[in-house]
Amino acid sequence: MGYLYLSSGVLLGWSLGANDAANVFGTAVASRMVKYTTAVILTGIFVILGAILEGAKGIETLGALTNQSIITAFISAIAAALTVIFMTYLKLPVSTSQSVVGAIIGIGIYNSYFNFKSLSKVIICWIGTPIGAMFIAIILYTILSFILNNLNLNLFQIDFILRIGLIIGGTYGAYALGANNVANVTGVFAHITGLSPVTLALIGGTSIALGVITYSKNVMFTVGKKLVPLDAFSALIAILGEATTVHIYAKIGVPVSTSQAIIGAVLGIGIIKGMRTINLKTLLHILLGWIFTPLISCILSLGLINLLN
Amino acid sequence: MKLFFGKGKAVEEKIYAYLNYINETKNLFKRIITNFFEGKVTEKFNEEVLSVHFKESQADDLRREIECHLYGKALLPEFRGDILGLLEELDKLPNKCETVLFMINLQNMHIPQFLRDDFIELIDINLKSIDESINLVTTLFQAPKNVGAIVESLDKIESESDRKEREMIKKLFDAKEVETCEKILLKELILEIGSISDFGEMIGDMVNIINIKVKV
Repeated sequence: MGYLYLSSGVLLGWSLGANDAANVFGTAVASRMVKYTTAVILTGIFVILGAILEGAKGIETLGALTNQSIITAFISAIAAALTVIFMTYLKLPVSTSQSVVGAIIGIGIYNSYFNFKSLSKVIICWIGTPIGAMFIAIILYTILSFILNNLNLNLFQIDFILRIGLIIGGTYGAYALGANNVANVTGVFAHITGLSPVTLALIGGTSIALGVITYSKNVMFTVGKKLVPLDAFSALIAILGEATTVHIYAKIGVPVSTSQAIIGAVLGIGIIKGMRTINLKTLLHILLGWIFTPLISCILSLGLINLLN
Repeated sequence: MKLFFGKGKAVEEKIYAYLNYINETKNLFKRIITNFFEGKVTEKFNEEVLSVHFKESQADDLRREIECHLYGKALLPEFRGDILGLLEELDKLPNKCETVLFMINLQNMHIPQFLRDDFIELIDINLKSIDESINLVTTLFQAPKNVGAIVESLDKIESESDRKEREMIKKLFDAKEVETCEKILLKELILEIGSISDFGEMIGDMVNIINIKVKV
């Protein structure tokens, strides 16, 4: 029976994979630097690897936010998935991580129990995601550009390094995505299904990989093209900044938004190059996403659990 | 690895082959035109002019092949456009050699004795520009930090050619024994030869920009 309830998490994982693969290989694929098939295969493999090797910590964090039963866990995942679909339909930026946490808060309100320590850690990490990615991107840009410019490389050597860098960066991004975001997919089922965190990570990772393989093409091209005005080196820094940030939060055990991490990294590149890479509207969208995503999913999960009772 | 990155290496090798074609076209052109200005024209002149045309066509075919490779995503998009532009500009060098020979051949041009040495000097200056352009592109791909000095040299060659062109045109129009219509044709020939170093200078500017762009 527990496996049947897990299907809601698998659905959420599938939509996460379809949407977030763009954040790791979008630029490289949309500008045809890397083949879509290559990107999808690498993303699929490394998302699962990241989930299995480093996903357990985040699963523990989300599992400890409130007391869950198999029914409330199912409702949390459904409410989070519906919020993602609703926000995507309204073309508003949405973070699966924030949606899941919002849904868990709804269940917490219903249960009248919160682990405030874990919750405050999660919220601080959300704010820290774009800011952290921005600083990491600035540091990476400064160091890597210094090294590359002092190696006196020719055009073909730079081209080779940037291409291989984009593939390695994308692969690392996929690994970090799996390690960090698998908690969104199966975290709510920790402690209640009898499955170990590694098994939950495997199920979650595989569902994200399925989303990447079956449905990520359109999003990858759309999101990627938005970032194409970046030159290849900046695109590489954006991916590395995002992947490093998301990986750090996977180590801390808090699922965060890869989209917000990449926006933070692009902002950092803009600061170092003295140009505006992100407009005020995008920043306002992030802020709205921060407020509305958890709010909607919280209301939804609270409504669904009350409806069920 | 080769699956991902073999295309870049293949383009680099083809560009060297293309530069070799330009060099061969230039050598052929030099031999034919020097013979012409030295008055050593044989009945094979037509055939020789055509041989430059064939060599230039071969270079064109290779250039198109490289372009197809580039459109086939051989390089990062930001470098693709630059290399395509550079190839288009390089192509003008053998084209000009061909045009100059056709002008002489089709218009049955007669070069006055008092201008022959000047023409040989002008040709030498402009062929130096082709040599430096080839050297520049090779340097861009092999030792980019040395690009600046060659760009400067191309700039000087262009100025030297301009000065020579002006001197020759003045000499030509001062000459009483040459018909005005003939003067106009010869002036056109002088400018056509001189345009080789103009393209050399443009190649220098393009390479300079590419070299700056390669810095991240």
